[in-house]
Amino acid sequence: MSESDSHIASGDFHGSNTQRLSARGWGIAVFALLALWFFVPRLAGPNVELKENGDFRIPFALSEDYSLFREFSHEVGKLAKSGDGLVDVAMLGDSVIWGEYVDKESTWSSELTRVWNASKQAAESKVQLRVWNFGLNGSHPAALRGLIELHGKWGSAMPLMIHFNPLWLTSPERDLSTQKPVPFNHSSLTPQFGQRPPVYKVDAGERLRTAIGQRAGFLLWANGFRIRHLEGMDWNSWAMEHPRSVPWSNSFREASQSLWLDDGVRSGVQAISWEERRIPKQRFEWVDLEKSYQWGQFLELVQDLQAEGTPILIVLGPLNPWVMSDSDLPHYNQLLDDVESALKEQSVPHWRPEPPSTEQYGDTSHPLAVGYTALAEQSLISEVWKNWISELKP
Amino acid sequence: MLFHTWTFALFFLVFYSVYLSVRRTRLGIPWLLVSSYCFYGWWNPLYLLLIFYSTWIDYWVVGRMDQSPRRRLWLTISLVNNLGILVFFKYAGFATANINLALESLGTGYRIPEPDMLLPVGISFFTFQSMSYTIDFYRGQVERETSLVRFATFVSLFPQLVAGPIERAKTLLPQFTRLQPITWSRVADGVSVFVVGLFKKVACANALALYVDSVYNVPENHTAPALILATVCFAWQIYFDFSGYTDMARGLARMMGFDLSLNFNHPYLATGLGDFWRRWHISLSSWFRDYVYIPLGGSRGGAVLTYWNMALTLLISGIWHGAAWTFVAWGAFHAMARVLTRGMESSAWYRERTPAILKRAWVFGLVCLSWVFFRAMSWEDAVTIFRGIFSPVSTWTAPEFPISFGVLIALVWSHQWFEESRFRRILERPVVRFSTMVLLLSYLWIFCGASEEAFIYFQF
Repeated sequence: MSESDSHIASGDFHGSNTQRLSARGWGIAVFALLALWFFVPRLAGPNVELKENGDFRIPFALSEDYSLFREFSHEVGKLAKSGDGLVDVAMLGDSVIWGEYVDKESTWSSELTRVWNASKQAAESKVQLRVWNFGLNGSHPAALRGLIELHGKWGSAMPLMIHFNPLWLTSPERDLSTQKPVPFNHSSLTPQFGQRPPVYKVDAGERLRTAIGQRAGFLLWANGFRIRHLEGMDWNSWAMEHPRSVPWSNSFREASQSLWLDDGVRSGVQAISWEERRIPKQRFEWVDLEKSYQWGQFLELVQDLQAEGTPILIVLGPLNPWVMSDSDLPHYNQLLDDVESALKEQSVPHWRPEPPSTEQYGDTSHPLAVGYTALAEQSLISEVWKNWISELKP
Repeated sequence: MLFHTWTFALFFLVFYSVYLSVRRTRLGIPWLLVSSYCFYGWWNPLYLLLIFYSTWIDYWVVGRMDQSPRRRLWLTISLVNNLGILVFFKYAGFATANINLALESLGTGYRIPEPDMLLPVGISFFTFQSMSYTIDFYRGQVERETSLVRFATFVSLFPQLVAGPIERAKTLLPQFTRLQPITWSRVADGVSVFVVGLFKKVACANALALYVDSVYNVPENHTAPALILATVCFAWQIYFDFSGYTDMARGLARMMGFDLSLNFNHPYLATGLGDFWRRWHISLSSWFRDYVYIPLGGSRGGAVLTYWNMALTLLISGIWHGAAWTFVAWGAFHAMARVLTRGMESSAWYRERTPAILKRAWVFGLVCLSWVFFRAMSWEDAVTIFRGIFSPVSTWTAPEFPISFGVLIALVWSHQWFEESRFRRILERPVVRFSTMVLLLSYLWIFCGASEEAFIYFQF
């Protein structure tokens, strides 16, 4: 043997690899890993610090950090059970609920809390409300179903107000019902097998990976960690983007901290009306309710929640009617009528507020701050809303 | 189906749970075969036709050879068939493109239509494995396998089917009849090696690939420091990628009760080019040694013939790797370097007086230069890269090289040095092994997203 190959023991399975553990070693290693999976997420966050007035929303940049959503819902669930005399309600939906053009103190949920708690009805019924903003940018009905069923950790007794945004039925692409592959938001929250969206054309391996990633808590946390600290990339890609950075550098810390600085109106977003924005009148390719994938998913979500005994209230629309072409308005109204009758059939409480005035809309679906105030004020005259609230106990 | 995906994890879970209960029954081998075919057919079910054809021909030829006095004829049929398949699928496009180039330069205006066919994954590996059986039987070194199912399982055993190690019939076939018990210790060994391989692929190879690709895709935009760093990174990328695959393959096979041969043994600690080839892709190097170099005459015909045989073997090895002139150049570079350095490596001065660190640096430098041909997208790119590397210092600019990639390479290299030194004892301590393993798994868990990057050697 030459000097160089003298270390290769004939028949040695491992050759040069010393990194091997015995069966007992693996037993201990598995135990250690389970402990890490349990403790690291608790120690390393995400930590959601809730304010008593309910002014918290998931930062826009962290919309896909579902571990943060989980933590948020878990904390709200704890607070709801704390017996502080307030009725906690989780309001769910897309960016209309999140508040595209407003800061977190002026969203629909904040306005509902403020308007109700200052009202005569609240004083009479002695019910003080705290509506939490669980809106996530881009969470269409099918994603909402996944979000609530997979990551809603508030407990089945938590009252849920779920927004149904008809915008998702304004084209087969938004409805996810076309056969043509289209990329869409929150695809990992939609069913990966069985009832998956017709537009979702990824291979079975990727879908399996996604399904496991959404269900295994330690993988979900790791994904969230990468979103919060590595801009959603893995370490390798992040290192390529930041060749001089190391995890203990200032730039690393600043980058992750900046994601949380989302208190005000998002940077680059102008809170002006759709008319000032010069948005032209819109024409839509409405999807029939009975053929709609999004509606099918939404209805199943509602039925599941009802079966679990969760108190729910569905909030319908309203889309900006002023932006619609004359031929679209009847379609839109008919759609909402159909949705209402379907919900009535299922005995699901629902509230269909009137649309705010034209200058109170920022675009096709998002109200401005004044629009949210107008919507919240309508709640005081809504019998459905008042009845629903009166049935909730602190 | 790649080893580092959830699809494979699910596949293996189903396969293994059934396998553990049927392996000692008559369903054991058929289950292995069906699973292996499922694994291979996952890429493209059409591939199965080819692998079955290749398997059946060699099985049938050996049956004929066993009963016929004209053994050489049957061997020739097997070789022509196997090499024919390889040439047809792998080199037809390359040959046509070159013929067309020649016709164009002659101004004939005639073009042969270029074949547009699928290159079956791992074709070079399973044809070589199957071919070794017929040659070994011809030489009387292996018994005839009477069961087609067993032989088909030998050719297609899924852990090593698409990128080796290339196993010999005399070592693998008997393992199907004399089953090893699957003990906890064997499973623990297998899992350990698998995890190391997974880390090599996902954490190391995929990381370095990002930098290598960014430079090698547009070499003209980079100066010497970036080109040198990218070349060094590629050397490690291909090592991590290929040895990672092999580790995973060996780990899986170990859990299944099979022992596959060692394929990599710290090649970048080699102290000579000969030593490098005893450490790099060992199963292929030994295949070429046994079936090309020795039949050509090996070192029995004097110095000139020895050098010629060596050079020819390395050149063929280059062509085996891919159908492009860059691979031919890679093989030719190694052939030339081996011819030029063999004498020096065997001298007492080199062996005894030159410090190991210098020898290692020298070999690593040479090997890195050869990798330029291997990785370059074209001959023109290879030339651009060499020009860039040897450009005047005044033209150099600082590369945008991630610090953490450099740290990664330094850590692995130091670890390997430790393993081959008297400090190996430290690495063998249970607490060190345990901590390292937990660290590797934690790193994969937190810092590496799900990756579906294919392995480099699948294309061969």
